Amino acid sequence: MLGAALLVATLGASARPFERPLEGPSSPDELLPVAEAFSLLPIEREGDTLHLSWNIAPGYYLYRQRIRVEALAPSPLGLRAIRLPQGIAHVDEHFGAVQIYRGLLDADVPTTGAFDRPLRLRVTYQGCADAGVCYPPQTVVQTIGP
Amino acid sequence: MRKLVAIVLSIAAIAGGALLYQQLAPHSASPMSAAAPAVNFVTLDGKTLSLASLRGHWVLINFWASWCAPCIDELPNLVRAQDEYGGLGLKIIGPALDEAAQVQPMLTRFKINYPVTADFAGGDLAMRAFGNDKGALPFTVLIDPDGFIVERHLGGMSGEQLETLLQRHLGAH
Repeated sequence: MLGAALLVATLGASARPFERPLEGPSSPDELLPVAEAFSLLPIEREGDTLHLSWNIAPGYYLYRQRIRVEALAPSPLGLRAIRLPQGIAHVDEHFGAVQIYRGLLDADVPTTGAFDRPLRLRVTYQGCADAGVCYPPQTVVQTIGP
Repeated sequence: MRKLVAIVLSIAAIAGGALLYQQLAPHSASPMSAAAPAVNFVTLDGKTLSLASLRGHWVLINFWASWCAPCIDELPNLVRAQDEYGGLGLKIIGPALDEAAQVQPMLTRFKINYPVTADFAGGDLAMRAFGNDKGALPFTVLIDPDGFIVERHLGGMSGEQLETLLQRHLGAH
């Protein structure tokens, strides 16, 4: 009896039994962690070209305009502009004409100069889910060996 | 008697632990409301706004960003809600996971009438403290005048959804 009274007193002191569960189609239980929604595979090098690939989970998309690749440290290897495929055209009320990617995305970054030491690359990208949420810009650093 | 006291203390300890777990665990698993975490926001005009200082008001915290289209969709509804429910004690706060330079033009464009912050790391931490373990936006939390979280919503809300939520808790304006 005393135990039950203590239990009730403890619950009553700091919790209320009326919070509503999350609503809507964007329940957090259904959303993937960002790393699984937009999975950047290890960057590969073929000759003078770096090859980047993303696996974009069904129901998620990346914005073309928000993909960037930069060399982190000074390197004799120069990076040219990233070559992205044509995306899916979309006119957004707020962002105007944009392109998005779904499914598998492959991109190339041509390089110039000698590739004689490890290269650290910073890759930034940002996307959303069809469920009506967006993930913050993601930054991934990968090192590619010579 | 000593045994009875030990049993009672054990039950109390288990109950306390379970309660603490409920408050700290991801919100989707929790059927109860929890006290809002003690968070502070630094608004765009440099003022510190502590959640504790708003005790006695209904507080709606809307985490957003300029790079998030569903977040921008909500802004006119939030401005309207602050107008219509301010008289009933509603205070809206808009922490943006963003840079001030990106947020500032939005204040003018949408005539935002509530305090807004621009702090990516701080906003992300606060959002996670409120139980958004996915880190996605928009994310909205309603806190009652006693400082308890009564609603959490991940994803965009239409004007009608927001109105329904506010009417349910604050009454008709």
